[in-house]
Amino acid sequence: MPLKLFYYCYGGAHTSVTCASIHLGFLPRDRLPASSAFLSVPFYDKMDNDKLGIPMYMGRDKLGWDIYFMGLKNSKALSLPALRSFLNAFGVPQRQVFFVNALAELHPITSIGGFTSRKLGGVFIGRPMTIWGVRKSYAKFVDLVERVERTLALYASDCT
Amino acid sequence: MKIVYYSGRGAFSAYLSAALHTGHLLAGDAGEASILQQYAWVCRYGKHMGNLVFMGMDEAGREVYWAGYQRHSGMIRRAQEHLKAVFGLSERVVYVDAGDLEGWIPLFLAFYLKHRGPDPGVYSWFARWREKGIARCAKRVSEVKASLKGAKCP
Repeated sequence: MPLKLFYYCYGGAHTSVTCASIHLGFLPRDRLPASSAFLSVPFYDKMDNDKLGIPMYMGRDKLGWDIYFMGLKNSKALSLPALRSFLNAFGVPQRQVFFVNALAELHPITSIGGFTSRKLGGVFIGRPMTIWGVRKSYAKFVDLVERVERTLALYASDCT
Repeated sequence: MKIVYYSGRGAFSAYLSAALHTGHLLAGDAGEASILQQYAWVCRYGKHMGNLVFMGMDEAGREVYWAGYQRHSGMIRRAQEHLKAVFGLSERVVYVDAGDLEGWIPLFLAFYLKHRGPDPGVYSWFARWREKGIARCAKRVSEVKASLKGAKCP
């Protein structure tokens, strides 16, 4: 069974989508993408509040991991044990699942823009703010994804 | 089939309901031993909030769990249901919300335990809450069992 990796953030609309996109090559790693590149990324700034918690499939990477993103609000200390123990109850091996916190690199402007866009409906103002904030922290997201990939590669070599 | 009793704090009405459902606890049981057994969970579950805890099997062979999801139960349930689809898990999960059976005392006790730790006053309030809580939870459990009567376990 393919291994599953979940990037999560607060609303499942910006930082987790960005990390998943970098991971799968929808966004570049060697340069800062233009603002328009984010608008063409699937699911960017699109998550509705009533879909929080739902894992969204983004694609499969070159190591064979299925990449998802999801929004878990600020409940990771509660949600992650809830999800892990749930999978454990079904006999899903813990080694088949990875949860990665994409919020660690959150810029405050992204946060404000996300709230404006998703919560208040001010997409016209909020979405550009999120893009500005994400571009400001972009190198950190690339670094996060590369660290994740190195970990996954070690994981794969440990398993064989 | 798996049955998950959940509430805000977990170790109060969710635990009680799950214990009554599996027969680990009988509705008339107000014995010190069973109070202490639950109190031990009340004192330590706060650090493990969110974790699904296996209580046992009921008479129909269904697995019964309990958990505390605070105010994120809707989101966590959605996440769990969709993870089932992601991993191709077909077993049915029945969620039972026992949060409305808790009241304000567990909220207060959980806050106190987090900041001050256990003490005889907390135990006494907990025992008082439990005395009334058992009947409410037993009623909920009988409603759940009645609704599941005849349901097939996939």
